[in-house]
Amino acid sequence: MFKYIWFKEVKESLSTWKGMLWLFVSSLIFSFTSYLLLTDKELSLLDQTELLWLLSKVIIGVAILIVAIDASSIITSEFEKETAESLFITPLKLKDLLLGKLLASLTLWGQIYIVAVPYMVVTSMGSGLLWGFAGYVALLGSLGITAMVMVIFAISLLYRSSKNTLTTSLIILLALSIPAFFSSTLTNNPMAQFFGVVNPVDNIFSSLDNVLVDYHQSLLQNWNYLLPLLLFLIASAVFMFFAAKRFQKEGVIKND
Amino acid sequence: MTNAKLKLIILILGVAIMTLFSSPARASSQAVTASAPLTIQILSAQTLSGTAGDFVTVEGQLQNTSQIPVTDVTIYLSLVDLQNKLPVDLEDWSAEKGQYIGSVDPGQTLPLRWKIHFVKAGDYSIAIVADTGGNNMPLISTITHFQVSPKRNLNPGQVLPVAFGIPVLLLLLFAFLNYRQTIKHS
Amino acid sequence: MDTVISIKNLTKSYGSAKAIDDLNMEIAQGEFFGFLGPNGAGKTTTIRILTGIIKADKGEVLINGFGLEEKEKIAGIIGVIPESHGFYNWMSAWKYLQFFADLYQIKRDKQDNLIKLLLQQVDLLNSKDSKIGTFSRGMRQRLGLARALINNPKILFLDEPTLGLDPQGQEDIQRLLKKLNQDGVTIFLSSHLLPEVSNLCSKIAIISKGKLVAQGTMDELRRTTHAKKQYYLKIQGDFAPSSLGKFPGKFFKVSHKSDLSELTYEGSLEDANELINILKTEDMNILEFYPAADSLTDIFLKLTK
Repeated sequence: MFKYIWFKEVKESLSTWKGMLWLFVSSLIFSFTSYLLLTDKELSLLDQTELLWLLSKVIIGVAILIVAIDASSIITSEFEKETAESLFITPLKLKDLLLGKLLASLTLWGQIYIVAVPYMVVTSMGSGLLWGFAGYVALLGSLGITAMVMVIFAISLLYRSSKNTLTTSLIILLALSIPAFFSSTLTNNPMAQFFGVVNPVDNIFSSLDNVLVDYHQSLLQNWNYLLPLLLFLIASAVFMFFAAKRFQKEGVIKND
Repeated sequence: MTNAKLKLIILILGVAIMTLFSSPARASSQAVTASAPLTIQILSAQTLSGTAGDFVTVEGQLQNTSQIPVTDVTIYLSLVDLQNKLPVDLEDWSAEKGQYIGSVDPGQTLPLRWKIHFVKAGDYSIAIVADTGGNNMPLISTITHFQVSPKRNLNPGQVLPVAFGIPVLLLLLFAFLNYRQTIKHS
Repeated sequence: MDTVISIKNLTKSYGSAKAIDDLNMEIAQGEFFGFLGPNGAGKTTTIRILTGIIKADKGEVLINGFGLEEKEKIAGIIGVIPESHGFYNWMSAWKYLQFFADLYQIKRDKQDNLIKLLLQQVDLLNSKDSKIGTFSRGMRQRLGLARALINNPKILFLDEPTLGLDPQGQEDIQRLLKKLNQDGVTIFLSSHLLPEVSNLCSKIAIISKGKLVAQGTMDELRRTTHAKKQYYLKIQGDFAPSSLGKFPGKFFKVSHKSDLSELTYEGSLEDANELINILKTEDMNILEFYPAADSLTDIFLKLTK
């Protein structure tokens, strides 16, 4: 049953300008970044592995932002466009709806990833790091984005408003990105260090650094970054589960 | 002789004079002025020049030519941009700007090594400076000059087709999909 | 006749406000059931509970013998046009019905014929490939009806299906509903349009402030609202009720035109007969005399005041 919801969402994103615009914007950002990295006088002097690390952060950062914005309205739009009642009258279950929408969000990530592949190929030429680069961007991006989308879905079910969901999601993303702005002295602070351990964005970027700059490509060598990510994924799933339970208790239509 | 070179020579002479005529009032453990018994040399002077982006190793040595140990020794690189007449912030050039040696025994010779990354093209002079703490004047090695050539662009010919081609390809794809939709619904 | 919808002690509150208060109703198979009430009476809440959109606080509901917890079984036998329902404007009518056919797990090889038939029924076959975003309100309502029929339901729940439609649009929908009912579909219709309900429905329930105030056929409702009947009189000559002195009952809508008097008398049958006798004694020529039927509007207003 979930596959009909999934296919509907994918068809909608291809039929409307919404989905196309995301991919075009992504390609522009990747073009600008990769061109700058390879041709700018000072940036191009960086070690190639550092170039790849920078590009991988841009790919995942852009993808997380775009998918988060899209996911903020993918469920709430059913309430705002008044199509939710028609859906829930059918044999469709809430879990099928959530799974279908989750797969649709991951499909958007997949599309952004496919757009990013040529950029990954051209920047990693001669480094021998293409498979590690592409593989870890796929793995870490998928884990991080899946977790993020589930959090957003939970918020959607609680708020039932795309505006509120989007605002909250962006605040969460900003909070997770804050360590990137810390100076190196601040990251020595125990609180900042703890935050770095639990922060999924931090773990993604640190793992990429570990793979691309330090050449530690095996999963075992990255377990200390993958484990917190997996735990965050589980926590997100639990959050979404409880939000779904509350939604079912309140009913499809909250106030008559 | 360029102005910058002249300034450097004057600086060195000044340091040397001040060191020679500095006050003898010191703690007994540092009765001998630290700068005098140490000699510093840059050994890799001939191999320093390169291209922007290169990683090179600056090799040198520190020797205690006196009869007593010299303590609390810190050594660091001093880099001057001769074209812009400015000292260079080594932040991007080297991760190991300063090294703490500690104590150098009488007669001991210690190898010195820095890995530096040529970040910007230009003409430079480099020296190794040793500081022994307290009121002692730092000791400086001989000045070495080197040049960093500009780096040729890294394969821009390969990134351009992708950087321009992918957005254009996507636009064409979307236009085609849109056209098909319009035909279907009309 | 078998009961297909059984509602017992249904109660639903929103905070301290009771939306539905101890509702009891039974709808038989094949009935065209009208559900009336003023704004905020609880009609939409009732339909949403029956269709599983919201949960009641108390009470028991059986839809064709299934409890509301058997959502999948109920979903297979009911069709619904909710009060407010949106559409996926980017889809064509055909794709829209195909999407819902998939959700009802109708096999692909059966879908084409089914969708074609439904679009024909609602007169949208010529617009099957047009985007729903280009549809008029009437077309959307017809498409909504087609969607409600996609699973060949036994029971149809309709919440204001003709709201906002022009008279032609209303007639189109009403004609379709009549045909469906004739084909055996039980219809539960909630509507503000009293003429529509009185025209279509075989049985009517009236709800006010969450409570059921009356239920039955039109005749049963009339009997509920007054023990006395109304009679229409047309008399030749100038007749004034005051000339009768103290007479039981009530006279109203009294009018005089040329040499004619028209009035409505409300009273018991015996008093009406007595009136006729008095008029005859006074040599008044009674041109017309027959019982006047209370309209549904009158009944509704009386019961929901």
